[in-house]
Amino acid sequence: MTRLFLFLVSMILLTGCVQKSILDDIQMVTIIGYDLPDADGEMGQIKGIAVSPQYEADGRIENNVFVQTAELSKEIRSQYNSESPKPFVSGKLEVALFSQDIAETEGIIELVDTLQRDPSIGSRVFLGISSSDMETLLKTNYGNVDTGTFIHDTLSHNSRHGMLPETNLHDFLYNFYSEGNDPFLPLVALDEDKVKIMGIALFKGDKMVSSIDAKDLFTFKVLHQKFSSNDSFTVSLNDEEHAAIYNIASKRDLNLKMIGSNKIVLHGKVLGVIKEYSGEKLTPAKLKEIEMTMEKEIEKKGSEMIEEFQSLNIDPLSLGNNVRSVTRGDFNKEDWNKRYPDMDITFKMDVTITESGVIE
Amino acid sequence: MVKNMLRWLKKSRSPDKLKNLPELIRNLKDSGDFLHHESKQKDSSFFIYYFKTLVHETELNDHILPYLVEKPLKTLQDIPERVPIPGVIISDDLKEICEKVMRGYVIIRLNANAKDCALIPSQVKKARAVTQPEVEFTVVGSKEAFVESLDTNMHLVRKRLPVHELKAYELTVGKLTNTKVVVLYLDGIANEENVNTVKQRLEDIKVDQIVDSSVLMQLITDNRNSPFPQLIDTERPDRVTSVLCEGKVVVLSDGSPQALIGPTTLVEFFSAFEDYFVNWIVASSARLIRIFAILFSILVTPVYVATLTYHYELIPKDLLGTLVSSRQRIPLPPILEAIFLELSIELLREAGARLPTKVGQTIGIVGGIVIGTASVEAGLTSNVLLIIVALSALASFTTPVYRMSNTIRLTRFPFLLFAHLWGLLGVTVCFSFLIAHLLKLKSLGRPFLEPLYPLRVQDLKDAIIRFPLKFQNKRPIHLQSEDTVRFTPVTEKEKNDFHE
Repeated sequence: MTRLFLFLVSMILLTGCVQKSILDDIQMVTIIGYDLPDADGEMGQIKGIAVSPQYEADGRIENNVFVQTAELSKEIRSQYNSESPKPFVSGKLEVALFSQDIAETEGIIELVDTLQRDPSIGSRVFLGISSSDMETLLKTNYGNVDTGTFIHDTLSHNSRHGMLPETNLHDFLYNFYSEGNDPFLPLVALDEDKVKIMGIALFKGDKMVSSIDAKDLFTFKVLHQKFSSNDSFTVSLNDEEHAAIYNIASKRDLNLKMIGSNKIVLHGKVLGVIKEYSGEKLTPAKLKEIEMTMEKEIEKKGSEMIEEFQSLNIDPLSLGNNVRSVTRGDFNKEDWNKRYPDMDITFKMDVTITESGVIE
Repeated sequence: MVKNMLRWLKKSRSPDKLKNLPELIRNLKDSGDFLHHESKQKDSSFFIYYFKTLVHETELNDHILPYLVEKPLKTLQDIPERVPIPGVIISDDLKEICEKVMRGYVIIRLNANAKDCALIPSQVKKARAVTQPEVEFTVVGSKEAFVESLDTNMHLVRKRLPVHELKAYELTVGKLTNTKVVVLYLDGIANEENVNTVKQRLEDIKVDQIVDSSVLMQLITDNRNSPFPQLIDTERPDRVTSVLCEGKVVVLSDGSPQALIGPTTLVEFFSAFEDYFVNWIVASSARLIRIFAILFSILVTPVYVATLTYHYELIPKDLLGTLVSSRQRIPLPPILEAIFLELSIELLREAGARLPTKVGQTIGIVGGIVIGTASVEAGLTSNVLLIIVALSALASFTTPVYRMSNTIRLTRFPFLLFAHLWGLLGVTVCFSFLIAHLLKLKSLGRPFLEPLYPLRVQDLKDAIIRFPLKFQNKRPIHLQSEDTVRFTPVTEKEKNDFHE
């Protein structure tokens, strides 16, 4: 009896400790963008743009955009509250975007860190870099849809089935903190009334140093991870004959046996299907030719890419991490960083075309 | 004045206070339907007394009286010899005489001052005809249901179990109603302890009236403070037969078309008797659907309240727009909104249950369509919640035992309260309370959650999934049956008749 009484009392008293956030009485931020403030005398160092959808009873969705400038990113949130009728919550955040300026000059880890420390923000939030002006990008109306969901979906399906490698808050932090990895994030830009993926931004530490163009993402993805996608690769045999090869499955094999003599061999394997062919007849000899051309092209692009990474001393392919995993004893990061730029990395490609159409 | 009358009432009611037979008869004459008359013959006369409302008068006139008057009666001993009806008693025990006359016996006395008399049974047996089961209707299977007459009910069971092991222990319960109660069990199969528990509990009952077996159920149940029924009541004689064969104990009570079954387990409340009439795959999927429906019915509204009040992060982003826009104009917090709807469903159900069938249907339509749509249009409730509440009410009616569906609907309210106070944590806390309570429950001293806890793998053959009849060859462990083997399964030889 006493126990029941104590339980009931504590139940009533403890209810005062929980904070309610009733669904229709909160302002849910779905996308947040960080930019440097405009030069003309704005106070503070960071400009934060938050977009919160407002769902109307008749099915319309209105996007409320809140722009605030502050010294610290944490201050921005309390400033948002000062101009919103409902309290701000971050639990439904889908995407966090950073302007290219901020990524190149200030670095983004402080901003990412605030996201990471908020328990209501999931680790699957997408991060991205925008090369367009953040305020314009987020103020654009993308139709009767909430801006956060719109950009999230664009990034999501492209990294699941398309050309983007998987990137989210968790991946970014892993690549940032672990040894022998460097993070990369998708690079987006405003394209009239759409958001377009321009490529990926490469980071050294938390600063953006370079980028890869969208058309080279196929190669990057082959180099980076095992994947299958709807993305296709176009091979040009000559001016008239082109073939679009649709990737069913690709695999990368790292050969680290000769790491002692500073040699790494990267093997890429692609199983493909010809989707489109502009030539006249697809003979087995032609198929062989297409395979060879594709192999060569990817090999060339890939090697160039690797060379660039080495010259920038960044490692988005996480070669260092793979080397670390086969190193006995302690892995010396400084030592690796010194060795990496001069490492002899060979890239070999192997393309197999399994099908070339139903009608032969 | 009133005091006197009370004393008189008390006096007239108790046969113990009456000194002798003439006094008893004088007392009985107070009732208008108590008939008495004297038959005067040449050399013998006798007095006859009976309640005309309890006695079959045609039978009395055609089969009893002719034998009495054909030759003069010398002694009372002549009566049982002459009257071709079994069960004629000669008695001078006032209590017995009184009891028998109240059950439709005819008193015959040879003279007005005699202390002893003959009692001839001639009860009128008026009972409703056996009809179709209404609560536990099944499409296939027997269409007989118990009625209010104990004899008819016993007949329905006995004709299905023509074995001498079927024992019927009879006793009367209730100081005023003197209700006949029968404990049915199969000797040598039912556990003796279980039988004795039931007998003991029935004998210990000290109440003045037992009008239905539901009252008995509350009096002999293990935990009277639990909303969960711990005995199953059924109106199907075939179900009673089936559980008797399993080794359970059945209690039948006169005047009630419901039999009580014990010991039982929680899973039994979710298995319909129809499950045994269909293929085991069909039966098992029906059971799984039912269990899902119960959980859905208890949890879905509380989870809605908890999520909307505390855990907006959990809502998938595609559902977010639907939920927010449906709640846009609603002034009430989710808990009040939910309680409002749950209460209106309860109101509808209660009103429907109290009204005659035809009016009840109208209430259902009026309630379901008019109130539902109107409250959504008025902006009092969101249409999403309306769907959820309606579905959960519907799901609660899938339980085959009516009593359990009442409990299920009731269980939702504490869950709602906890969901509002503590969110999903509260739902979890409440769920643990529920499980703890169920773990503590017993049915005739046997664990109520068996075979889930204590885990008895053998009994799982007929719990959440009903396995084929071939595997049902052992009696459930929890019944502690004295004969555990039901039958030895014969392995059939497979005939290959496919000529290729």
